[in-house]
Amino acid sequence: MVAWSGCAATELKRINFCYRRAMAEPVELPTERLAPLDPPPALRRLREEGPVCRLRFSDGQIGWLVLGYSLGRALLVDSRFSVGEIVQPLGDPEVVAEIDRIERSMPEHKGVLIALDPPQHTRIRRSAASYFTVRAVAEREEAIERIVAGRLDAMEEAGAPVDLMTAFALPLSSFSICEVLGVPHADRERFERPSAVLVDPGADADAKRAALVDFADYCREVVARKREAPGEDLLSDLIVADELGEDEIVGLARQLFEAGHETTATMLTLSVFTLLSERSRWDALRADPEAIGAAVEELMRYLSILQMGTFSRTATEDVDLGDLVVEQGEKVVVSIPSVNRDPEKFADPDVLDLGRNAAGHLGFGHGKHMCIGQHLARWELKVAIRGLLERFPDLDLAVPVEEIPFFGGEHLLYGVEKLPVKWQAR
Amino acid sequence: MKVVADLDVCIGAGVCVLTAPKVFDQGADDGLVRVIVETVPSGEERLAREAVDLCPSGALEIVDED
Repeated sequence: MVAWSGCAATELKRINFCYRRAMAEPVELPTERLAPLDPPPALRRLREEGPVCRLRFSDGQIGWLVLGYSLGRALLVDSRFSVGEIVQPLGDPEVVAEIDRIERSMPEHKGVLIALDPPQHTRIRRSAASYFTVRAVAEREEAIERIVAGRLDAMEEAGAPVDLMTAFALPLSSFSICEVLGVPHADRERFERPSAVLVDPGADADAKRAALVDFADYCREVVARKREAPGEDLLSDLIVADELGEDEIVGLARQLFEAGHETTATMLTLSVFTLLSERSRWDALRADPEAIGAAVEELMRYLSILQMGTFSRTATEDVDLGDLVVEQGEKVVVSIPSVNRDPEKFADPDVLDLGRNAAGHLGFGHGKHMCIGQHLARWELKVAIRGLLERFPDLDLAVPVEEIPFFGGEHLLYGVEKLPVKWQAR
Repeated sequence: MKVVADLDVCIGAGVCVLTAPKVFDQGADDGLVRVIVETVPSGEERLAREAVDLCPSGALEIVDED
């Protein structure tokens, strides 16, 4: 009896907490940073009050922002949440809604993984999974090394200073995804341009609509080329296997091009900034290149470039997750920068400790939508950082830290627009 | 200690292979998880447990805990 009433009292307390939380004034997603490499301090204050809070999305609807690590993970694996209709915490709500509507009306939408729920999601994701396994990606190490060496040569030829984003990070990420999908490197413009417009918070609905059409046209053209002359690549194999429809292959191609270059390039450039802005970090990796793998994981955790969080999820029924009771139809976003700095998961979370075991960070997301290209991204980051350390051991920022332009705000990602770097010619 | 994998749930993310490569592999043809040991070798239990915990799709389960 005593145990029961204790239990009931705890449950009552929990319900009371959840109720008060639901009634609390919603926040807008904080974006204001005090230090370039730390998430907005307001996120931390909110997390200290609880693992979740009320969030006002940019279209005015009220949902939830998950700030705590374990709740974030629990939510992202919960099959009672659908990707549903996408809303964003920030950005022009009309543009977001219009683009979501257009995307859904396009035939290739049925292949865009991030917009799909099971069973369609499962079927399409699995069709591509074998190209992104740990082993399949490790087998690409030489190819990635070749791409990196090519960019390093080009940097040497151009001479310092160069912008690391345009001279190194972006082309090497684009070339890597070109090779997986089996398109010539020269195609990079065709997918970089529309991708950039689609994530640009300054672009209006017309520009984004045009970008969507351009992008779809390009992907359709690539699939037609592969059908004509199949090669040894993911798209050719999907066509030959004939398990996915044309639109699904086109949509999947779009998703892979889109997710496969800008994120990695942004992460790589911000990582190099992080290492160079405190020289001892760079020197430590120079002295011990074996440590680069663990360092990449920690950088993923610490930098958490998906500043806007995961795409929104919609509860398909009432869900009780303990700290959070969500009503059917409510939308939830998990703040990646917040959960990756949760002291309940990571000791001294605000310290960049390149030697720590950062496994379990949600930098690649979690659940069925966890990044399909995560192992490829890891290899690219590792080989690229190793290449820079070897070729340009004295690499340095070419301008004072205060002059490095950061972007974030309403952008999905946080990073540096440009990273001017220099070195001594030998 | 034994680990079982639910292939109907696995999405082939490969987090388990990254975490405990002596216990898990991914099929070359489908990318899905393969448990490559009948019993988790001694010394690998911690990593195997971590892999089960980290699995993004919830496809792994520890059975037969000693």
